[in-house]
Amino acid sequence: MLAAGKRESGSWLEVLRLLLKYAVTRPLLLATAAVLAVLLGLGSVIAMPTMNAEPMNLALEYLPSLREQVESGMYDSAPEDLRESTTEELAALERMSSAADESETIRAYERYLELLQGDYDAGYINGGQRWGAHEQAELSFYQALSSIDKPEVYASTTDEPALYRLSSALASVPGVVWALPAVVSAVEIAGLRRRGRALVQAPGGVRLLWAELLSAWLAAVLAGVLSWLPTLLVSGARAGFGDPRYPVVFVWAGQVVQTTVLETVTRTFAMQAVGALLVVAVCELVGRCLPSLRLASFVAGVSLLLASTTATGLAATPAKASASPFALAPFPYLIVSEIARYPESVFFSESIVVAGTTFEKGMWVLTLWSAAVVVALAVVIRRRTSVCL
Amino acid sequence: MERKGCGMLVSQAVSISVSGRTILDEASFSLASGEVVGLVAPNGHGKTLFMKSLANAHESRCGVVVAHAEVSADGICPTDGDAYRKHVLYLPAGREFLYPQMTVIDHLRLIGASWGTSDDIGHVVDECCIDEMLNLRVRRLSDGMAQQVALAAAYLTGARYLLLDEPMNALDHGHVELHHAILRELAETGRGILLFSHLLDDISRVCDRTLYMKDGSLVEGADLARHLSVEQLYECLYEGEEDERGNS
Repeated sequence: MLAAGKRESGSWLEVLRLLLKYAVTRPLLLATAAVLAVLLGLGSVIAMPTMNAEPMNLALEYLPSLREQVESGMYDSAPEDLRESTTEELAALERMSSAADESETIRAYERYLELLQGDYDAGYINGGQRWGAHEQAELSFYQALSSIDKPEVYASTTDEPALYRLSSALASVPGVVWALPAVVSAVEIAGLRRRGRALVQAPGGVRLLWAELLSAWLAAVLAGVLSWLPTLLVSGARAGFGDPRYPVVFVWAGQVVQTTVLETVTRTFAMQAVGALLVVAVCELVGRCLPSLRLASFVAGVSLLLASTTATGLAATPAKASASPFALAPFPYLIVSEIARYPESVFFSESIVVAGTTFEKGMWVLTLWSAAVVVALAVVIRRRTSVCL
Repeated sequence: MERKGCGMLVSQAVSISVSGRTILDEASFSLASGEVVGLVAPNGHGKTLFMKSLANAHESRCGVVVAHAEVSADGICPTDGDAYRKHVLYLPAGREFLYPQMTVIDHLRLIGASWGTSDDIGHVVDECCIDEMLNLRVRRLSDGMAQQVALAAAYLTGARYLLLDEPMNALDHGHVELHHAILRELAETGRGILLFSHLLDDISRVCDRTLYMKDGSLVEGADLARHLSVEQLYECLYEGEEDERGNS
């Protein structure tokens, strides 16, 4: 039998592996991933109309009246440059209407917008209204869209290819629902330290804490990725993977920002992953400071709900020119889709986010807050010498 | 430099009260490495609280007050944290120590990795004869099988002082014999064992000495009456109390 005191230091990587194995096989975590998968995947299965083609449809609706105006000689007395641009606009809309394929339609519409920009700049539209950032974003979107191999605007969610659908679906999940796997995995791992259980008395202190935090975090990330798979598979089977360079354009603090659908998915993943670390760390801290797991779960749930409400409340305030101090708080970044953006961003007016927030700042802020909570946890663990049995 | 209390788990002037009722009043206790000590008391005498207090557990229940003047294991104090935890392990009664959804082998791996004794898993499995249940989840085990796993896990920690709370209750005769032998073997390798059991036969067969919790004190059986057996002493000490409890 074992001799007393015959031991090496514990292998925390093995502990991590075992805790991760435990966490990823918990039915509650798998059920949470399944619920998320259903929320994300609905649009892949059920055809839902999108607003993506609306701007082009509106332009086409304008075609008969523009044609009538030109034919009736309404522009005969107009300045020559306006007359020329109106004629070209009519030609662009005619090309749109008779286009053989969608790429031709998009190119014609892009040309129409370019001409419209000239009208704005010349002061011919609505009493001198200027070409704004939103209009520029729309033009940039169609310019970028024209430059990819098979430009397409998807009228229905089931037409959208996998990458595009995923990016769009991720933005449709409300608030901080994406963080549920992190809460569940943190609670499951915290349950291993329930009164009397083996790990309560385990030596290892901070190293055991790393293993618990990392296992809960990795399990949450894996559950998150698992919930993405049905959307990718169903939309992939129906409409292909899609062009990763498909443009995503939006207005951020008055500036037009252009990115790609692949980048929005990558950013969403990165931000959700770092956000999950913060959520797991906060749950762990709450669990260590409160005597009962039920109470800790309740407090963690309420905290997340408050964070979500705060983030939504802050986001309801239109961005101001100067950076808000809330940009250094973690809440605004928990509504990940508002920061990472999504394909339909271009069709909405300027992003309603807390002033001063950016993706890069969000990554830093979430990482630093996570680090701060982990340090607080380490202090709690070092100061506590007794265990709860 | 020799450290105070080396080779011994010592608790001095321990006082425990529950809702104002005194369970132990400045009692002293020691468990030397290499000995098996039995702890005897009827239900409700606070033996679990006492054993938990030796493992440096804080009690979150209202009304429970535990105070030690001094507690140490081989000179290591609870404030030393991990070092103390590696020295002293409390094994609760029943399945409380185990995770229902985890397999037996994963329990042993987790404990081996946490306590740094992974190399001994095979040895413990052989000694405790649990090789046939390694891939079963604990929730599928009978009470007796779960008790065997809990004991194996406790042995695997390599803790010098094991505080075992009713460890033989669910075991069949053969496994009781096996674990009696293991406990004696552990004591021979220098480990100290505090064994609480309502099965007085366990106490008399495996323990070097016996302590009785009575009137706020820990009383050494040998000091009371050297010629009486554990069962006889138990009857002398607690007969009246059990009658009172029965009447009430």
